Amino acid sequence: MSYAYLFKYIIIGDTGVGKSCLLLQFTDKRFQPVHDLTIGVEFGARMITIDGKQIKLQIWDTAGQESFRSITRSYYRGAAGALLVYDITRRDTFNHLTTWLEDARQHSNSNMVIMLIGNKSDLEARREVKKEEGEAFAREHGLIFMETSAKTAANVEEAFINTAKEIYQKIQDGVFDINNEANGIKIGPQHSPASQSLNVGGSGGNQGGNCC
Amino acid sequence: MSESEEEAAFASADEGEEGKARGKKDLKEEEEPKQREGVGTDGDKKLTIQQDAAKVGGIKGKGKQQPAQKNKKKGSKSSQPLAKETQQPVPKPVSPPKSSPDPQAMSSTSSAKSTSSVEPPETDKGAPLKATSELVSKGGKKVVAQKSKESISQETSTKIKSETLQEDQPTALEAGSRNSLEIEKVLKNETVESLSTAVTNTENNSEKVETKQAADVRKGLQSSIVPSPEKQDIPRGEKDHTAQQEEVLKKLTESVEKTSEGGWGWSSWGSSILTAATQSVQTFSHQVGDGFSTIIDSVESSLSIPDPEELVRAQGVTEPTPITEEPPTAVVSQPNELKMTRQFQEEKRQGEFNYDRDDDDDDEEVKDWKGAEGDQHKEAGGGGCFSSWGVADLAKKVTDKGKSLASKGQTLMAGGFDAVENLASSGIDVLESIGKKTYNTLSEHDPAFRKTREFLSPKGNKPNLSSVLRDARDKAELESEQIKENEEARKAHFGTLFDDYQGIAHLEALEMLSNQSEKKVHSLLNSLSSQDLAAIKPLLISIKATFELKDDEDDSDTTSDQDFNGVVSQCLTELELGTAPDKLNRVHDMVKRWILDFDAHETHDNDSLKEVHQRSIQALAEITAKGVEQLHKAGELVLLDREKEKDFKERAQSLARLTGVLCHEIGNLATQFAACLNKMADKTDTVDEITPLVTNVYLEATNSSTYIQDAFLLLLPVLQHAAIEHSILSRQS
Repeated sequence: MSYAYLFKYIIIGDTGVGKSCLLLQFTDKRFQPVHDLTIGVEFGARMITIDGKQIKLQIWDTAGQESFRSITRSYYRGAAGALLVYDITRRDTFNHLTTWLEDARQHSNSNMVIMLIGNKSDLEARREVKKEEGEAFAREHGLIFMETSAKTAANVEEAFINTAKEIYQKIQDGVFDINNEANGIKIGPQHSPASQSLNVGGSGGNQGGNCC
Repeated sequence: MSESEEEAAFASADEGEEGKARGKKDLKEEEEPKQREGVGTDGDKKLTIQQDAAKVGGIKGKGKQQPAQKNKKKGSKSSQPLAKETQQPVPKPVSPPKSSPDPQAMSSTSSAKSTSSVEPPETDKGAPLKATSELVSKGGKKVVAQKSKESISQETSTKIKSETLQEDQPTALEAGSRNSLEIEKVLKNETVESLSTAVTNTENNSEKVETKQAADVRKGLQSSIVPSPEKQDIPRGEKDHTAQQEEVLKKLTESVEKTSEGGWGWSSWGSSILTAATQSVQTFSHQVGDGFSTIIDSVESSLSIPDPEELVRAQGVTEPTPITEEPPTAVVSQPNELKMTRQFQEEKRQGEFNYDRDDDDDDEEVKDWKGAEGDQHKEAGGGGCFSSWGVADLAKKVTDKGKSLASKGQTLMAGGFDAVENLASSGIDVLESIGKKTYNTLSEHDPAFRKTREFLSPKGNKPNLSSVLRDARDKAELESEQIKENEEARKAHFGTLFDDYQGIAHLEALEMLSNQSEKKVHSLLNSLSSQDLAAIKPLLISIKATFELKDDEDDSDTTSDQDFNGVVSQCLTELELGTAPDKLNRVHDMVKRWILDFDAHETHDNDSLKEVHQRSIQALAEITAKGVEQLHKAGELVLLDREKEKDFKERAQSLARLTGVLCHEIGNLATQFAACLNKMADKTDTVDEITPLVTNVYLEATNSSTYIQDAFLLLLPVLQHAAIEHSILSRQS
């Protein structure tokens, strides 16, 4: 599973807006109605293809609880993209967007691509936040906006992939310095047979140690 | 065409009279040269003996042609530069058609064409001479006209012929040579252009011309004193001679006798005959132009040139008493062939335009001829063999020589016309088809071939399609093989599997957390008062000691099998973080089950060594990842749980124990996997393969422990951070 680039995403937003469900839908294509409370951060990964290039998305699904805020802030660093999620059925989640956005902007690099996601679009009846509001907020803060449904998988793929496309475009435009891992972008590992066989030889542990 | 020809004929007739009259005067003075031709004529006669009367008529007609041609030369010599200019202002009405040589030229045969086309310019200058020549060239028609209009006796005419021949020689040498060159040039151009059309016309015209010629000539012959010398025996011809003729002949013979020197054989005589014959043919071929040089051979063969041997036979028939000296067999025929060509050209030029170059040779040959004739004469007289011929006969032959020589040429030409026509037309057809084929071949097949070659030749540099495809296929195979290998490697690659289980991500996150905590610890320590610092310092040191102690514990712990799940759960409970080791225990249970399964089944033939190895590495990676995750979570919860009243040293010790348990368990699993592999090795005798696999399992187990210990060490700042914050908070509260 070699890849050209690795993008680090973070998913942020109030607790219970469906961050982990979005990740699960994106990585496993399944929906889990009852989800454990996320402790700290959870991880998901998936390969996508953009412009004929394999890109691995490493997604950090952060805990939305306020108590974890201090911890999750430390994970913002080095993210290339952020999914800022609110629940369209809960106005307060939308109202907290500004705080989250400030947090994200403060603790990550300025070029980070932020996608505003109004989740639970399947629950139209319980909608509290109009789509236009979301659009307006996104426009105001220079975000990409989408309404998704982790349950129905509506726009879930698009949300992740469009973000990746935006990041990729920024790479092409030279906005991102791909050699600086603080930008949340890693160049894919060399996967020549020689190196592979070497790794098979058991140097993986050392490699892993280096990663730390 | 017929009109124009007739006009031309009339004009030329008028002029021809003058020319001949003039020629007479000049030529009478020189009779001797004529004689040698006379000898040739004799030969000609013999040649033509077997030919039919019609041809003989042609020969006679030709006899007139020759002098005319010579006259032409004469005229052309003087008038050459002006010739073309004067072409148009020709006084006679004939000129317009003449000036445009092509129509007329085309109408007549190729040879006739050549003369006619060249001559029109000359007509005006040497008008009289030219006329005759034109007549000749245009065929028997004109000859007839000439004959009828000229009331010249045959004697005079013969004289004129012979004389003109001689007379022309000196004068016409230069002009002739020039002319011939020019003519040939012109011919080349014109023939090429007009030939194709001419050939078609020729078919029609030549037949008419020939028939007319034959008829006319015959008429002329009948009217003249010499009737039909063809069938003629020579004695018969003798009788036909008029008194005047005989006089001339006598003179000739006398001169011949005088001039004749040296012995001569029949061979040379015969050769001269052949020479004459071939000459006319060659003349013809020359006139036709270089373009037809290639078909000369065929022309010659198709023309009425008699085979030398036939000639000899003919001689044998006509002359029952051959000369004793040399039998007229192969000796006669063979040497001739060589001489033929040479004399040929000489004579031809004589007959045509040139005398110049070969003049000397000619003279010699003439002498030879004379000598031959003289010999012949002598022998005839002395030996009695030729008594029947008689001197008069010989003389007559001599006189006829010019005539017959010329006529012979004409005959040959006339006979050749057909062949030439056929040859020309068919030859042109052939050439055309050859050309077409060549063109087609070049334009269609060759270019394609060239392209093919172009395509093929750089092949050496560029890889061709098949090799490209082969390379691509090999590459694809190699790639797929690599992918397969990579997949295989991935399955057994600890690092990759560890990443897949998000072990690396957790480790990374833990590292970030640790770094952040470390910073916090430093800032908090700086912010703390010395008192607070002193209060918390022992805790921090003890926590640190706990983390350092861990290695020692590790060694002591590596004993027997442990209740992993129980120990882990106990550890986590001690941490009081509210986290259950669900994931870790689940994975561990799974691995344990697999190992038990493996042990339960005595036979593992289904499982390849690789699969067992992969399973081992996968289990290690997964457990390690879960262990790291567990530590990561513990760290997060420690930070989160700072408000709780808890001894951080105990937490640290619990974490240390957890780490120890994890590492121990990993070691245990590795040992068990190694045992499984060894078990297989005993059964399958694949020790060599298993040894590296077992080594690899142990190696990756060490790596797993390293990961876990790394994660544990990363918790130190987190714990310290939590401890400090807790102390601060507790104090504040």
